[in-house]
Amino acid sequence: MSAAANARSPIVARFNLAALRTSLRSPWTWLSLALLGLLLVFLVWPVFNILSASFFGRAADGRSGWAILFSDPRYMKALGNTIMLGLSVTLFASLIGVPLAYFTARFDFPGKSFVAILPLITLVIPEVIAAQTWLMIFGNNGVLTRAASEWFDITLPSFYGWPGLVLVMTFTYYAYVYIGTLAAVRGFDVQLEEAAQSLGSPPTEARLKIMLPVLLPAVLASALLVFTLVTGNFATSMILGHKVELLSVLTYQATVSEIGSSPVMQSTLASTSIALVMATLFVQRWIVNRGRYEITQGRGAPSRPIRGAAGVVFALIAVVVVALTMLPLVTLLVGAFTRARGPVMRWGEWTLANLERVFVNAPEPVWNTMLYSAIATTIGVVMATLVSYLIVKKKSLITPWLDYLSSLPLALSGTVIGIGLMMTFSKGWLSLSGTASIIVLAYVVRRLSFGVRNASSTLFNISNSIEEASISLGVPPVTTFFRAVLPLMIPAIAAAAVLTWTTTVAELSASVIVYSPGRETMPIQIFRLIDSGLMAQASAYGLLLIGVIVVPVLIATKLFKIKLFA
Amino acid sequence: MGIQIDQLAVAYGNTRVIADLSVVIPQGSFFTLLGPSGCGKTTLLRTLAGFIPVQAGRIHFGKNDVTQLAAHQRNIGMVFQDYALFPHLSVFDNVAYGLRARRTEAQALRKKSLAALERVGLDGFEDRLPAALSGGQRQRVALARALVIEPQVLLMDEPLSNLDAKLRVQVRETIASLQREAGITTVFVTHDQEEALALSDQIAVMQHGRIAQLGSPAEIYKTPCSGYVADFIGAANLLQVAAPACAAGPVSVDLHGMVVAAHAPQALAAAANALLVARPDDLGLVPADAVGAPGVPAQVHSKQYLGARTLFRVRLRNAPAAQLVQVDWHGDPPPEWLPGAAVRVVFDPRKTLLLAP
Repeated sequence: MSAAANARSPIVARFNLAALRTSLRSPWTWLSLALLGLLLVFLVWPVFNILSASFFGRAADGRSGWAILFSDPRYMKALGNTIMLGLSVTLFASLIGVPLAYFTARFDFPGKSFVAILPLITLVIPEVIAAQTWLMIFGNNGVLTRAASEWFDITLPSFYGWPGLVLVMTFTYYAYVYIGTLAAVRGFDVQLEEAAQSLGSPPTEARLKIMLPVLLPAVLASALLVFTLVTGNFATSMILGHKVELLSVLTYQATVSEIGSSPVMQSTLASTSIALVMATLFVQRWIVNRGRYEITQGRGAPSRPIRGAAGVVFALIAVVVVALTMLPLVTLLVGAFTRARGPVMRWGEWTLANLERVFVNAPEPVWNTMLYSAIATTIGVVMATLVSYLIVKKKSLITPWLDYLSSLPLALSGTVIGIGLMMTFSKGWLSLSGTASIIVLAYVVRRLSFGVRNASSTLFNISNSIEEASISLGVPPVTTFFRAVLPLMIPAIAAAAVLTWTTTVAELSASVIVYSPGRETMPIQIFRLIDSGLMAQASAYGLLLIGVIVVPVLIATKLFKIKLFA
Repeated sequence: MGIQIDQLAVAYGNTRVIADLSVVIPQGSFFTLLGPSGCGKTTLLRTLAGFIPVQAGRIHFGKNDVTQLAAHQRNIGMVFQDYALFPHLSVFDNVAYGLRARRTEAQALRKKSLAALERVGLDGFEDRLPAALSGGQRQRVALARALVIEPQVLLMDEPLSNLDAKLRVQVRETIASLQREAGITTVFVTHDQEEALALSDQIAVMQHGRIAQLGSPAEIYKTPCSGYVADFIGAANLLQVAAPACAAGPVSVDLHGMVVAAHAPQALAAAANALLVARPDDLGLVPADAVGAPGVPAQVHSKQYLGARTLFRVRLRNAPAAQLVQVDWHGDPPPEWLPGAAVRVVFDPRKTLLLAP
């Protein structure tokens, strides 16, 4: 033993050299380095530029961004409003999402199958369209507002500001809480509940004492996700915010507004947004790490039918929630075929003129959207596949960094990504502003984390020995990847491609900052039309946008039987 | 092609898993690495395959130094614990995979692949997907896939451990006959001593990344060199005794005040904690009042009927309460040997070994 101990240090030194030699010979090392380089240039550099400008940039009066932020009550108010909005939406979204998930998992009631399609609906409706359609119902010119004043002579309170923000965002985001809670309830081992009851706890007490603490971390984690989405929210905040100042709105205005744009404030506000999301994500991770209990043997509870009055009540609640979720789709459909004169909708008068305008007069946004998204989806899926393969299967000194960096976009709102890319690639040796590639780049960066996460989860399920079997049969590592690993990843890659497509065609907050005239996408066009009050025209684009989203989803799920939410 | 391993060292980071290991595996032999989990046997196998870099030392396949050769260039056949069949390829394509990598001409490829499937008794299964096969069939496909490329060496990583007891014996026989037929040098990893005894020409019992004992199955079973090996191969009673210095050969040992005749395979220095090793099968029981009073007086502690044999646990006189000796009795034992009954344990002087601690 002592001889072996003496021999230890020289052996280790030799080993490191051998390891270095082996790793330099491996193609994966070079691929890791190349991907790391891409992430550094297109992700880290923009973020670095934002942060450094917030510290070292000076406004016209010589003050730094942070000095202005902390002294100007307007910014502090906006920060307060943003946190307030985040908390209220998180609260309301949980109040809807948690009970709905629990009852769907545990009980059968009439109309339950409607509830099952909720995740699909949230996926399908772009946020800008949700905001638009709610406005078409409750806005100053909305169908209900006008009906109330014409028929009953009642003036509805203004929808702009807090009521609209909270209502629309709640119905946009509650599905995240619903999905997170549903998975947790389904994964909960009902034997734990039975054990508690066998030890003498009545059923309700057993649920409160055993089930609630076990599920709470998962619920909190999805609620905090909603909080980060609200703080980064752009479309609803812009369209409905009105006099309520919000961080994302001020950030956008500091970046693009003709008057009052401020390069220093844009990076300071963007940095504030990054800090806010980072802090939330740390709390989330802390909760998840601390409180996620391992349930070894999952036997989900069978759902029990509810009959009689209780069943009717559950059914009614579920149907109302689903109906409110679907409302944007119906409004959009009606709006797209309704005659409009300027901003005034003539409800009840039907026309094809809106759609005709889209197809004949201004089809460019449609083509732009599809072209940019197709390229971004291709690049994004290839990146996600390679990065996740390296992270999961080819661990080296470099791959942990690929892992950290590819999850960095989770902390960046679309607005922040847009600002970062603008600041970094508008001039210099890699000038992309004014080109389509900066829009594609924004899409790829925004979706990177989700793509990598999805692909990694599949890779963890592919046994390492599959690859080793191929290599042992004489197939070199890179060919092995294409012949033995990639075919097994195809279903996951297809799902990732569909999800990337659906989210990039709907992308607004980053592309609205980096786009240039002539390169409008459908969401950008819709956003501008809403700004001008042209709801009928916006609805026509919206209808088309939803078609572009729904058709691939249907083809993937029905024809190819791809599971989008594996 | 034989395998020669010289002073091999392998480490994960700073944890050394294999230290200074040398062994020669003769051409065409069936060589088993046996040991509990964590002893380094799988690491050694994967190092031979080229999946784990070598820290120091050399590996030769025949005359070729393969130490720095990449795994896919080593021309090995490998069989995995979880079969590792490609789930997206048919049985035929799985078997033909390695031949395609070698750019085998289409007709020969088809002929060789079908012949390989026939050898493992799976002709007619070539269009099925692996998911449509049972565990035993999957492992036989894996075997055909590894052998069809006519590798220099065959490496098997616990190939039987995911199969149920009956299939294990069946597939074991397939492996044995194929290996003999092909005459291919085979390295087999297992933690199952019965598998090792049944299949091997040579067994290396591994402990802490070293070979604790190397020998034929009979040598390992009959003359284990240490308590560790004796305990790992088959059931063994390990009794701690104080032993005087002695030469190799017959020796008398004091066991709880009684003299027991034993055999020392190697010369020993005096030790207070030497081991007296005797297998339950090699011990006899006689009535307490047997003529001539041979053996060591003891008391029956428990008795388990196991069909062909009966397992007695007895406590030797003066032995600590926790120390029980197992004795196998073949056939029907006398009915009066119930717990508490007095008996005598007879040690076979040639099969009772005295080993260094």
